Amino acid sequence: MDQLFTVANRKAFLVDVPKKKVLGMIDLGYMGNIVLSSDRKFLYAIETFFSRGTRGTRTDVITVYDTKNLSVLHEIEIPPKRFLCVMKKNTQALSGDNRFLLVCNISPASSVSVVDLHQQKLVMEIPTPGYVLLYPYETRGFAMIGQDGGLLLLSLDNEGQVEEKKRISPGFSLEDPIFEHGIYLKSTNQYYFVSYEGMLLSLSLSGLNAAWEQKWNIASGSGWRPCGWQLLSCDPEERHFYILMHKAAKGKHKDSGTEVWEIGRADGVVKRKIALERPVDSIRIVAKEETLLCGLCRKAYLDIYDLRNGTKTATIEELGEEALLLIGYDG
Amino acid sequence: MNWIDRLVEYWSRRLALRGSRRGFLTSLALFLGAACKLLPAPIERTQKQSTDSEEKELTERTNDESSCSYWRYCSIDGFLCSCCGGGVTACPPGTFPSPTHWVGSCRNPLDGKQYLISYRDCCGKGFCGRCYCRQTNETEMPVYQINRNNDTIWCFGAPNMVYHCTGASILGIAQDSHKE
Repeated sequence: MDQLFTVANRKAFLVDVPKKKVLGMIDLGYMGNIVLSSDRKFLYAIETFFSRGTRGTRTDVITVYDTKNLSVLHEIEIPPKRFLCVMKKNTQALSGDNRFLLVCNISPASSVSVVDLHQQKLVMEIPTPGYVLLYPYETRGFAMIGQDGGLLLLSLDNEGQVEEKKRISPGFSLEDPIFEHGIYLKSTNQYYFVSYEGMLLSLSLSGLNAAWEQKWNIASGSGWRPCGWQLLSCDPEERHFYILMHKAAKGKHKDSGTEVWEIGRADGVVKRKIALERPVDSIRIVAKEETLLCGLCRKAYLDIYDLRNGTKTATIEELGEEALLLIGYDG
Repeated sequence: MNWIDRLVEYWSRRLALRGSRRGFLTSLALFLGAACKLLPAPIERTQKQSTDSEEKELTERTNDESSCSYWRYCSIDGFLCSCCGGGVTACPPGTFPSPTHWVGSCRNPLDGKQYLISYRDCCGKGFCGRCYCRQTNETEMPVYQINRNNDTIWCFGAPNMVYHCTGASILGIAQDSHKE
């Protein structure tokens, strides 16, 4: 996958990473966010509008875009209570088969709106008290995280109704919580997360079963800690993890990172530390003919590094206020 | 705990008037869950020792309510109301204080005690855009612990959900501070 969207406040840019070029932009409503279909045909913008700008009646919609020309195809109205927060990748998610789009609501009661993208309509709202964020897996499965770190697993049937659901006990301590950003490895049906103190955890999923495993602490004793926003990525061959790091005391977990550590997936060993020329908040590996490390900073720049030698090869500036997310067609 | 009482009463009335029975119970469950989490107050346990001159400089710097380093802002994420026509506990003109908020804890350099801080958003106008401040101490948590997370737009219960700026009120001394 060689194209990414960078998502900032009220706008998202489409970037061709190997060509180091902006291809286009879409507008976004208040605290807007996006999801891309895996067939690369559609972009779904999850947006909130007020009838008088910052006043008036609130309307929440899914705006469906054609990714060929970044034009609006149609809108689907959803309940006006989607979760409004600093943009996060997992406040909305497509089912694995791209049939349903789920959106987290907090009003502050927690629920999920289920949109049938074939029928272009809202089909139901699932109450999910105490659980937030959506981590899709398999064809129609979703995991959500609860206040105590436990999980709620649910699966949808062909009508978008809840087929089954199950609660799973916490797999980590809130003394060392996991960052919200996880990456999904489809080949093994696993999510990987990293904790504030550098513990790498796997979550193996199978239907309504889930098993946590604490793999390795990649930072212990070093004075370095994971940090940032989308702070974890993986290469297409799934041989290495890449984690954004900084040298800092506890409590600085949202600061920008200054190094990216390459970790062996098989053994948890730190293979390499890539010093960044300037701090970034989110990282993502993009591979086509060459493998590139993208680093996005909330100060509106995207730096691109050649992963062969860890050197910066390009920069794209002026990508909008609070540029925080790197969203690709593969999630 | 009057503020918790008021908050629960507010939501009970609002949801009873507007929502379904199931919606009410769902909201109440989430809200009570959040309220329970507030009681064992988190505190920052590691404090750096400093010299007198450093302490004086720190105190001056951390008493400027328009500065990101003001002591009550130790876990804030947003535009400071003090720079937007309001104050550390007052909303700017034409905006509304949210009846809901999240809670962190910060050390007051004047007395060395740890205080519970209510981070309360002012709502009803677009982003103020001035004095952006993002701080996290170790009590700031991911959004699955929503009552300890500073990414959320805390305008629930305000006339609308448009975020303008954030203030910081003292709720009281953190429990563990008495033991120091």
